[in-house]
Amino acid sequence: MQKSIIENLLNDDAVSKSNYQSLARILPQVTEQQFAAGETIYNANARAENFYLLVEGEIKLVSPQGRESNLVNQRFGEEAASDADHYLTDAIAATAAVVLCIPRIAMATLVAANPALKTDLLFSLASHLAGEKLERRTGAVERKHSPHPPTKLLGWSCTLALPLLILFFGDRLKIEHNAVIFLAIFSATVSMWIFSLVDDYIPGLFALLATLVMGLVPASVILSGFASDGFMMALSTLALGTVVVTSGLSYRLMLTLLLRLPNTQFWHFTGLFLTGAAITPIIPTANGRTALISPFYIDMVDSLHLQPQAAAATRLAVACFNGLSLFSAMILTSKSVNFVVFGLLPPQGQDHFQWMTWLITSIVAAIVLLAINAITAAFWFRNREKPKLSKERVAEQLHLLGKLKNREWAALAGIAFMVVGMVTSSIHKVQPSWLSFAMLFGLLLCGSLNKKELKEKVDWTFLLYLSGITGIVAAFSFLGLDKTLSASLPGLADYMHNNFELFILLLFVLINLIRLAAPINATIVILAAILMPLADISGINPWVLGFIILILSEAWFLPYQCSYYLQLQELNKERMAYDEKSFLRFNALMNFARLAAVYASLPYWKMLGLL
Amino acid sequence: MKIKPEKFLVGLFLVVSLVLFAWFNVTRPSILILHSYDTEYAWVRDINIGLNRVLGNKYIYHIRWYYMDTKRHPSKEYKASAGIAARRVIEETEPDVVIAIDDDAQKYVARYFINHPKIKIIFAGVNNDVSDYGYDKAKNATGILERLPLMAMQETFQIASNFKSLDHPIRLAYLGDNSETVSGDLKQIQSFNWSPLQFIAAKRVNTWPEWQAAVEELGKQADVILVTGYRRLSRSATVSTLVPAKEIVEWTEAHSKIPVISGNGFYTEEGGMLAIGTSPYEQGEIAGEKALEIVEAHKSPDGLPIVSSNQFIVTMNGSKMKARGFSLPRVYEAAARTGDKYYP
Repeated sequence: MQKSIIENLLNDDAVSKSNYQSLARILPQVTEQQFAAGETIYNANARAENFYLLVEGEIKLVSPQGRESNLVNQRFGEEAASDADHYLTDAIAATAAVVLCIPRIAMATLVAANPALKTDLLFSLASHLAGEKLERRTGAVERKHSPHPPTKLLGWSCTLALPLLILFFGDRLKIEHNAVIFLAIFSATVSMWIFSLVDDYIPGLFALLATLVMGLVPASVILSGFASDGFMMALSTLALGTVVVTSGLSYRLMLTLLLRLPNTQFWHFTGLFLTGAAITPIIPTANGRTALISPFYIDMVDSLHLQPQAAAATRLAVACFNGLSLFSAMILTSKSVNFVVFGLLPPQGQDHFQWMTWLITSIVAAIVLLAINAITAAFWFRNREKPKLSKERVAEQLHLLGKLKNREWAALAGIAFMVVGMVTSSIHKVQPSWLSFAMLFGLLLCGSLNKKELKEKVDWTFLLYLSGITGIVAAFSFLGLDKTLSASLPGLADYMHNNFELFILLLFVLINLIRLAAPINATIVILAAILMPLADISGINPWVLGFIILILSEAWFLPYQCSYYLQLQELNKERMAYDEKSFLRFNALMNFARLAAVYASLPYWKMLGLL
Repeated sequence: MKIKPEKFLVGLFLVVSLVLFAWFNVTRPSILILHSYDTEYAWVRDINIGLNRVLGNKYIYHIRWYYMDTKRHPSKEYKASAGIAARRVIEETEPDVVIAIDDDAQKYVARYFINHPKIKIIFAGVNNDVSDYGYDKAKNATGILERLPLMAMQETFQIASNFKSLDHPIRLAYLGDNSETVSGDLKQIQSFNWSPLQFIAAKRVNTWPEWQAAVEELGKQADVILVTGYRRLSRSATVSTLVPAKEIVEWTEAHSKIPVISGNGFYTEEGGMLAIGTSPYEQGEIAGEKALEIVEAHKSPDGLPIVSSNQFIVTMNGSKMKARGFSLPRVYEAAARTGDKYYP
């Protein structure tokens, strides 16, 4: 009997798509029932307690107005799998019928484990009511394989060959044997990063695992990332970002800015730019900010009736993109990889370059970038379009959002707590990392961030990535590889020490060459891991070098080099809102503006005693 | 709006907790330990051991460490920048006590806070005079001076069997680099009454070839060479890269015709034969104790006397002593072993 139940479950084209573990779980609750011809199975408005699969016979559904229809699919009672409490129709056996009956509670389990089933059953119910089979069309999602398989093959070949080569020729390096083994592990890790063979966090875990298993350094060293200040600050920022986004506060902020700012082209650009800039500290991924802001860009192009592909629409796209990305390097919590650089600072650097000091120390670069962006964009995209924003519509949108909700207040309180805490840190002497931890605790205690969101919305893989990198660098230093590297790169160290200006130029070229193949994060991690210890030895403040690597590594010329631009590009492919060629040319100019911002900061850093 | 009692209590718990955390931190005194050098320098490491012995209850006070790293980067420009950066840290954090260690921390940082209304200065590892930094006129500064154990050295030279057969007074020469520390050391050495020993020469050099030549030259004139600072030797007159300390000491031990003895304990760790050095542990411990008297007993620095180092350590490399035939009473070896500073 059991076997036939299983067969009948698997015969249903919707239920059979469920994973077998969830089907096995509900199996004990599935029963077979028989109904005589004319027998009512349920009535309209009765509590929807069961979902049915027809095994034999015929069933007809009768609406409260008396309209009869036959089953379009071999199932009925789909209401029991939805949030509806009651059946919409009667179900009557037209002939003697055998059905499988699945209780509502079992369906809830099944739907929770198979979210797509809910939609399939909704379509099934709609088909019954319409009297014809409504097909669910699934858009063919074009999956991008990046990199292409041949690149992957090359990448895996390197990942296999590099460690072997290092192990084979390691003796020539004249370093301890455990350092040679670690270098081999590191080379495989870097290769996986550069060729994007797996998700970013997996190579770091490989390095931790291999180092731990082989006992190359003490566990406290290689796992130090998990106990670092940066870990806690990253976790707290991710949590705050989750509350800001899911509470709707960020969307309300955008609408409010648009409503308050004057209705001119300049202020529209400024508003969108400021919105991106305002959420930069609280949403710690550029991709996350792009996902949040870019739909708003499209909304604005529509509501302002901007001419597609023209200068005004392109300038708005630039404002959107630069607003959310231009200050990434200047704000510690704006990008996950900033925490990596923070984690690579020596302890006194981590004490000093906390959130506010990080921002103040990079303020000249921020001002220069902002000025170049504003002035150049004004000339580059000058136009005579007269856009009109319907403030009434924005006001209606805001009205629909209603008053600030409790979770929005909680997000605001979290932000205010961090800002006040950081500004008054010289009084209470609590490090920003612990302030952010307190803020996280408050959000959890008050239920503003629930367990499900903490589990699902916080990017735990990034935290593993961060801890992996920090551990790798700690092991690098423990094994003395930083000094070995410094000794083996005397030219670079000399340039760094004796001609820092030229070194910056060389670094800019080097970064752009690496960025042709490697993604932003991998470029930053590898260069920072190698050069920051070298900076310490060469008498250059490691923060200065880390910051320069961060700001220059964000340079990109071709779309594939920047994952968060690809998100904007995807939107533009559908809407053709802005002129991409013009956008890319402007972006190329901004890459050189980054270099100019670094040079402009040098006197300021000298004044601060950092150079 | 009506607030549910449970929510009110949760909120109250959160607010009370945060207020208590904040109060605890606001009332907790803070101490900044400012080193002139870097963590890899053995002298710094041993001073930190002394400090940590005393400042054990870290939860009672907030401790922050800062390293200026001027030993590895001795240029004036770097020191000036490191000084500005360290002063910024002090201005931003306003610690209750700054423990400034070694001369660069005094010259480039601590002296700028003399008679500061809030910040108290404790100095340690100071080879120069207190007046060089204006501490003699400061009401908010006290500390411990680093003084070479010259009397102990004098006794050691007299007791060493190698020199007993000499038909003339033991001739002592000094060799050092051009660092601030060596200036202070040299002042002490030159003003000390070495009698019945004869202090015949003091040489300070900038480069590695000059050092090598000096070792050879002094070997012809003296019976023993005393060294203290040698970390600021450039590779040559044209290459400014510093020569690693280990390379200097090992070469000196191998090429000097006469015994070379140091006034710094870490000399043997870097390959030397014997050192009778100022105790870094004492420097750390006294500085830590004075800091506690200020932050816990609320004493004023001008009520705490400035003291000079009183303890010294013996560090010894047994095989190098044997190779040179340099012998001392067994109690020296016992002292080195007790301090875990005997290298077989």
